[in-house]
Amino acid sequence: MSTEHPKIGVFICHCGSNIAGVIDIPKLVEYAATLPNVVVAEDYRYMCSDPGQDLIKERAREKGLNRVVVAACSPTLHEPTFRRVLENIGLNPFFFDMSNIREHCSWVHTHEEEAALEKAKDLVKMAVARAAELKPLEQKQVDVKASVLVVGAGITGIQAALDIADAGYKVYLVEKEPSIGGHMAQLDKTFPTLDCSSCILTPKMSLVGQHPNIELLTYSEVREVDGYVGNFKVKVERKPRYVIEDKCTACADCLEVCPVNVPDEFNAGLGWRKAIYISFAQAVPNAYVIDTEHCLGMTPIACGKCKDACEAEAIDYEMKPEILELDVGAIIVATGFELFDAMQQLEYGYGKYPDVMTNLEMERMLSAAGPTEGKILRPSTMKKPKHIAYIQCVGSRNERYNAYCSRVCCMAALKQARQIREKYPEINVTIFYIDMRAFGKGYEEFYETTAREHAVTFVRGRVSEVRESFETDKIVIRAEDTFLGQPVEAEVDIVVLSCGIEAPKDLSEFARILGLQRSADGFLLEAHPKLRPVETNTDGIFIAGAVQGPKDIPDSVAQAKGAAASALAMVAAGQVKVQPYAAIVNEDLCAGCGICEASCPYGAVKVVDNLAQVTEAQCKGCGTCAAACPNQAIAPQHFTMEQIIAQLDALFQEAK
Amino acid sequence: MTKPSLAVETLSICSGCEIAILDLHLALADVLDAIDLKYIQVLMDHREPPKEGVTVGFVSGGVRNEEHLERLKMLRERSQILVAFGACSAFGGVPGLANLHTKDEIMEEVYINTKSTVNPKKIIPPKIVPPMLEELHPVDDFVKVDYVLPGCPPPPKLIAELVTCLLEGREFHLEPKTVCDQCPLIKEEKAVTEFKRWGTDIVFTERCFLEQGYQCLGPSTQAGCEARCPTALSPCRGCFGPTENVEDQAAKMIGALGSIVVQDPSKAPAPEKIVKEVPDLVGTYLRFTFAHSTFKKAVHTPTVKTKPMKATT
Repeated sequence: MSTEHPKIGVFICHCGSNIAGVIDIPKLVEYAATLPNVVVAEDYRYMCSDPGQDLIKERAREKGLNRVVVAACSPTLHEPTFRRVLENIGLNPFFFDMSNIREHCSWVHTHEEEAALEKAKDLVKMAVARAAELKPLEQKQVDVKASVLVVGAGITGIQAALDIADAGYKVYLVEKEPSIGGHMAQLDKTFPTLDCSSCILTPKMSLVGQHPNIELLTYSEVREVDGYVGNFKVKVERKPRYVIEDKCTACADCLEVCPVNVPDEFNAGLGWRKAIYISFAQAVPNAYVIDTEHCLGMTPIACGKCKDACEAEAIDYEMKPEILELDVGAIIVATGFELFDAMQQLEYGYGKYPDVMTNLEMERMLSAAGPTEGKILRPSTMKKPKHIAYIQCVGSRNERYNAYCSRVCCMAALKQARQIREKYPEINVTIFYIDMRAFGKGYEEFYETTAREHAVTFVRGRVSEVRESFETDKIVIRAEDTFLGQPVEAEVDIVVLSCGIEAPKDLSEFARILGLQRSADGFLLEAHPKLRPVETNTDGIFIAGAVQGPKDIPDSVAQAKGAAASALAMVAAGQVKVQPYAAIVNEDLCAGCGICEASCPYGAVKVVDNLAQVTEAQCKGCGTCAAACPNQAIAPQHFTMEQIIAQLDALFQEAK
Repeated sequence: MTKPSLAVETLSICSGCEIAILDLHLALADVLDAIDLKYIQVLMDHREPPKEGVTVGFVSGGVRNEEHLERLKMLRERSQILVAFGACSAFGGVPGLANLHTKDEIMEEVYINTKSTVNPKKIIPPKIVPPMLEELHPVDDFVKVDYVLPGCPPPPKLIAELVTCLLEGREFHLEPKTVCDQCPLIKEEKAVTEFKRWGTDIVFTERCFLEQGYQCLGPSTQAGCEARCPTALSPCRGCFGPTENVEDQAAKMIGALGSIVVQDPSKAPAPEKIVKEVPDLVGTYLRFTFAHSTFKKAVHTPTVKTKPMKATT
């Protein structure tokens, strides 16, 4: 069919008034009809509608079209629609090109109608020129392995793993910490219902630990991801715990003898733990781990007390890191977030004044299982405070740090304020905020009740300075009350900084391993912000939870379920279609220099025996390699050099 | 039966290409048995190639003055097959870098400005010597070339192969791969964090120079030399020019450089820093091919107004 003389039909969409409101459609149709190889040019109000699609089919039959060009919106929206139309009438779906005269033209040139028409003509002209050079391509099917890797075992990863495992598929759940649970395990209560966080989380954790379909890999990290949709090969490093999980009974005999005290990360540094420890009582797996950085037993002459004390003989100082190789069909990334480091924002005095603490530290203090067993104490005096102030948007909504809103700190501060006021009505709580964002289900009501019934004070204004009082032992906060329009000063006992949510520092490296892109805020980029929120641009890799952007628990769980459903749909189908865009290597030209391999964002090209080889299912046909190859030895099939040159030639031809 | 004859014309060149013919060593005896060497100025005392009976003409060097042009046309007329012999004749070579300056600038620099020159009356050579052309040209700017044998100088092995092909009536063709194809250095991973100038840091002699951050033109240079420079532990300078399916060697090489930089933006060198490490862009990427590149010469006075967008193809 490719040798047949091209007969092109051009179909121009009004998109209601989206395109027709700016571009003179009749003139564009008239122009399109004069282009080379065009046998029919027509317009319609909504080309994507059923009558619009029928119009294309009808004309194709009447005029014997063998190429179709639609000038409408972005191909990311409707290219699949029109390809199906071609398929329906027995044409190869890749004999189709789409010219984007909406996003690339009418929407950006709303007030320049004449110029917009000229540009639309150019865009259509280029699409027609390319259409003549299109080649028929065949879509391929690849088998999908019936297992899923979930990276990160916070609430998001746990939920996704459970959903997939419940559906009967194998799940590998990888967590870099010694226990699953993530940040949610550190929380005392959750807003707006004031549920006990661990009461709703630990049943799920325990399910994960016992589920026959879940292989739990804690204290492990993903080191390498190879392969493509349906067939990923993943290398996971299991760091040595130095405690044999199956043997450890968590009896705590080792704790009594361990001579080393280390600040406890789980309690945000407020308490102490030993060098052999378990993060928290309900940890899954319920086994101890040795922190080699602080343990003395790594040099056996120095210590070894825990080994002597352990009746279960679970301690093994000789344990080595282990690399596991997993074959999975899909990957869900749920590696979550990190809290903004309050030390960066110097004016709030964190790290300088002991009474300035983070919201996580306060959360641990509020927890009955925390270092103070739920009592609120002023760190400098270890006495009950009289006045606590919250500073909102620390590290968020601030161009110096992160421009975005962290979405959870308003509600978290409200929740903590409410907890404090309920427990100790004599402690005053003041919240300094820019604006309160209480947008979820039941959130606004929670805000109202907290403000009205629990008498929390709100001051609207960004805090400019936090310092120790010159006269008293209190902390002084200076801010501008933007309602009063004047500066205010408050003397308080504790300042709580509502630290925002950030992408984990190692996410850039992890994104590289996975071949994923990140958005400007540092979080992972989804395939489409509205319609494909859990997919990525790499087929078969999904994202969920705070790794995609700040999220509270309900949203993270919803995304976890979404990602699980998407991964399941793929795994359950058993096969997946691969677009035939893959780049092809001209072996007569390829010298194996490896520049394409370095340029490929998807890891699809590898040099083997001095020749580049493309893994078809992994290649997205983006063409980066084609641009990079210094000898033009590699080119994607659906954007060939001939097609691009045809477009450029058409564009730079003098107007007739 | 008369033997096929060979004439070698020397234009703007260092004569290294002719010496490369002598570098055939023992094979030279066989070549001289098979062909009749009629004219080669570096070896024999003749003023011009014989009027008739030249089977193959080798032309080395680019065209810099009117005499060169005349001699080039003469050789073309008198030989059945014309071979552009060496980088200068094929692409202008190193003398082509003079196209960064106008003819007048060059004359002034050479005859007046240089420190070693004493020329108080500022005399520029009169017209009795062949007048210089405005710029240096590769030979295919003026005449049809049948075969190109690039290199600075062409490797003796390829010279022998070319001569053998011509004697046996076969087509001579360089496989359009690049130098990397024959390069023995080990390629591991291209994730350059820093570009370096040669001689400013340690060089690991077994690993791909590009991967170490040194400018090596191997990936964008026609293969055939058996990677003689990288084998001798020096980066490729590109004397074989681009392969036949590449328009511009420099554009391709610069395009490729972006891809070998480490993907993590926090580790990647800033673009300004990369440019700083390549102080001589033309001399680096077009050392041998500037006169044959898209640009061909520096444009000094932008008198031509370019129309945006609607250019003629």
